[in-house]
Amino acid sequence: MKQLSKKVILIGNFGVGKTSLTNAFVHKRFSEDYLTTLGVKIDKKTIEILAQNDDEEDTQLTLLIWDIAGEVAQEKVNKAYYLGSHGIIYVFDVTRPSTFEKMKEDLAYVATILPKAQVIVVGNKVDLIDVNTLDADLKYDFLSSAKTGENVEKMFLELSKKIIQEPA
Amino acid sequence: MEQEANNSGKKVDVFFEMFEEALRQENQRLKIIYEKQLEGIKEELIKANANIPEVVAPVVDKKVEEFKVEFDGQSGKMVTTAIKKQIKESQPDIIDALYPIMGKLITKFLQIELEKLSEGINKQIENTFSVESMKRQVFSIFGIKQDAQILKNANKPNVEEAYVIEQDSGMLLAEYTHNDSVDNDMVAGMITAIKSFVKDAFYQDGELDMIEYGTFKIILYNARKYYLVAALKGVVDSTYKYRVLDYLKVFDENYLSKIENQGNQLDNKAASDALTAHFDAFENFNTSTNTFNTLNTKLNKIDETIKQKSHFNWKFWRW
Repeated sequence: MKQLSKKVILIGNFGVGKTSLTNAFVHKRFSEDYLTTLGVKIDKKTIEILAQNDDEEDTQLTLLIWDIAGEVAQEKVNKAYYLGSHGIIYVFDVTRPSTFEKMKEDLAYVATILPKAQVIVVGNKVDLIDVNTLDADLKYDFLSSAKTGENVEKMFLELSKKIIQEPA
Repeated sequence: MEQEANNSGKKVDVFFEMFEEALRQENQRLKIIYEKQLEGIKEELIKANANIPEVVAPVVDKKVEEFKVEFDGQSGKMVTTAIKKQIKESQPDIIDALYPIMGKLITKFLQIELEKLSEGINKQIENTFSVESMKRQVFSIFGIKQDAQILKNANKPNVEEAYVIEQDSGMLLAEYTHNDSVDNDMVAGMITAIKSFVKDAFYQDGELDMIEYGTFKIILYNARKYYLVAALKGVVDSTYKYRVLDYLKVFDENYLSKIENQGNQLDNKAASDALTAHFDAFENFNTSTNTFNTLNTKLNKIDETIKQKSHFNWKFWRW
């Protein structure tokens, strides 16, 4: 089995549920005291990805998940936290339009720092709304709920597959 | 067991005394507040009800005085007794909760004090070798040397972990480890985050070269696109710190730089093996900055010289 380690970052506005999604995925809670101080919390989870074809090898992938606090805005986050990331999860809150109004600009900014990283966009807190009421123009890869666990494993797995297939 | 029980009893007694003192102060404060309130009420009543018979005022006065006397005696005793009972019942929980904290504090305190002492002795040894004081101190040199030796052996520093971390991503590329309980991947990420944070927060060009965490001292060496890190335990004085930094630099020169110059990618497994072999040989490493070892060698030479002198012809000397 092939063994790999990759860095994934979770970004998005304040209060969209990045930390809750990470906790729901990792199932292990570390001290979060330093999140507000440093502006980042690091978690780790190892997953196994089965090969799609016979000529491929199964992969044991260790994800180092950097949960980055606060806004994506250029001057507010230490750019060094983004560097070297292989995958990006952009999280917004489906109940708060202000959290996805600047999505395009945010993703464009991150792409300037990490042009080769794989990106997925996630609308969180889906348990709080009727999905049919969401704006039809809103683009996302997953609708998730850290509370119910809906799509949490799935979105990390999807990102992992993308990273392995097209390494940054 | 009996000794432990006695110690626990003493600790609980100290807590009781502290609680009693706190209660006494609180009672005193409340007493003053209530006195003022009662006096105020009394004055208001008298003003508002001029028709109240004069006999009421002395009764109120008497009650106020009684309240003053009884407040400490009754309420204080009742509350103290209740808290004492509660503490006695939860004594094992209190001890369990406090012991780890106290233990860590004491360990940390002792470590800092030993480091200070070690630094002092190293300086003293250095001074010992000045030309002016050599003659004066030559006979007391044994004592200093023994102290230094005992101190060095009492809580000898050692390298618990060493890492090669990619600067950009904070990913762990190679490791030398003695401790499986530490999640090295996460430690590597956090070290990188802390280093970036410090640089960003303080807008300085300088480098963070050491982080203290509990009883660990984490030494950082900047090797272009890598961080070389060593986590140390024990009494780490500045001499030892610079010795480790020098040793990290040697690894950079002998291994990382060569791979970079050859244009090769770092192989994680091979780098971990190289790092392990490198730190397994750390005890033999000696540098010009390793003052203690250098001076120790000098001391041993003087020791031998003095032993030879002890065979000196004292009759001739007296003459």
